Amino acid sequence: MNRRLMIVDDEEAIRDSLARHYSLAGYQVETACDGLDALGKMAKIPCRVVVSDIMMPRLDGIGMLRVFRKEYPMTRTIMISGFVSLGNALACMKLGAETCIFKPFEDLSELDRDVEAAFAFHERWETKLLELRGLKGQSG
Amino acid sequence: MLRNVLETWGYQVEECSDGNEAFACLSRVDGPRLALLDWSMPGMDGIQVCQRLRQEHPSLKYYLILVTGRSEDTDVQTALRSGGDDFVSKPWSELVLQARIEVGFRTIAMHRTIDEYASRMQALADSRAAQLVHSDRLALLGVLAASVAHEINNPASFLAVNLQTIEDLWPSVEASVAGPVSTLHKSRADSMVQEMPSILREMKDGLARIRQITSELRSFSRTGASCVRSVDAVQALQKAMRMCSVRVKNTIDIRVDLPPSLPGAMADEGKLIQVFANLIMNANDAMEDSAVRRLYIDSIVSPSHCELRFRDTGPGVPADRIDSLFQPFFTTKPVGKGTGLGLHISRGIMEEFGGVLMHDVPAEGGARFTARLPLATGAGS
Repeated sequence: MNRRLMIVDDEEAIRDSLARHYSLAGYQVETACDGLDALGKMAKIPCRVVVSDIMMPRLDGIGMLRVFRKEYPMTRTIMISGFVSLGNALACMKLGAETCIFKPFEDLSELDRDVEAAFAFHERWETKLLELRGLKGQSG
Repeated sequence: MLRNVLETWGYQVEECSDGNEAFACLSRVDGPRLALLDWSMPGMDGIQVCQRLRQEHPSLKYYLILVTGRSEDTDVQTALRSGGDDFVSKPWSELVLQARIEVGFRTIAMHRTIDEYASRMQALADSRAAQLVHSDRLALLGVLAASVAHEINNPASFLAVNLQTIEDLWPSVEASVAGPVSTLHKSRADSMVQEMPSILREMKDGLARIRQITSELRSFSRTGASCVRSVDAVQALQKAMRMCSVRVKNTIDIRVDLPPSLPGAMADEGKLIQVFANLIMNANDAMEDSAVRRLYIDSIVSPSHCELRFRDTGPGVPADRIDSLFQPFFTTKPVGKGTGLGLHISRGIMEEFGGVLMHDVPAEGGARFTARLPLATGAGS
């Protein structure tokens, strides 16, 4: 099961610390510094779950979500933001983001739980699809 | 003889024997303010005393009564035109003189009351002006809250993530130190050793950034008297840019062409940051609908001044609005956006430093604002 996760943030230290945390937790982590960078990397190595900042240069999180919706409808995206307006939060919701987590995080329990739940969504469907194709044994 | 009469009426009397003595006596800070002046005196006559008193002490409230044997209309005219308040011809009647002196003291008292009101109104106007400067600053602080939230929340976030990493890995480190451990513990302890330098560096940087923004916020929101001293305008600009960063970083492109530092200029740093932040936010708002949204900032230094110039690529100030640009409550922004006080207050601040804030239309188009500050070294000359 592919547990590839992408972290998108224009703040290097956030990118690096989250990448470290999720690598140690057993995920394969990709990083991108803004929406445009993320789209470029997704085209090469699609990730099932993306954790992304909202306010970023070049292409912000909302613009990126809009593209994801068309091109990668199965990708689950979790937004994180230090300064979130109601308008931004509603836009994220309409564009199908999983949730929006406000910085600063007190600890990572909420984000960990949501990342895990997003992968669980994929795993659930993967199991169902395997069942449908009859590839899974009777024991499943 | 006159002295006796005046003392009977209850007045304190000072006598002078000629014009020069009278002028000196009336020039004293604690000298009398109502005078009975003889027209013809040795040295300086009464008319000259009146003229000189009015010329040299325009702020002192005198009531000058000329006493003379003349009684022609032209004499009265001359006396009143040279600064006399009243005219009494000899021989005078005691009753009339007493009444006229009473009028004099009443007039002096009235002047004092008016002066008092005027100075109270002036103080009120001054304090209102100071409040306006402060409320503009608070309004800007609201705008800059985004940057502050960003500059505190982001470091706080990676501090929290790194703390969590340490917490997660620590048990493996403890176990490894205590004795032989499983491969999982071993590899997690190795990760900790390997990652610790980066973790520490990030945490230190994060704390430094939080400290920086809070100290800048403190100096920016400080109220009270200005502290005008030698300031590096480049540093003030950098602080202003940092405060505006989140609001403008995804909307406009700021191109700064400045030396690493400029010669010290006379300013209050907090207020200078306020001026610069106003100019940056104005440019940001002006270029909202422009295809190219660029703000060029450069400087010019002369022997006595340094100038910071802000040129935007917006639509520029409409020609019919240029004259009212610095007026209070002037704004081209829609209702609810901008108070129309920013430029007015910014110009006031620059003038307080002995500088100016100017607008011109550059050849390239757009609008250009120039903030000129006197250099600290040239300030005394």
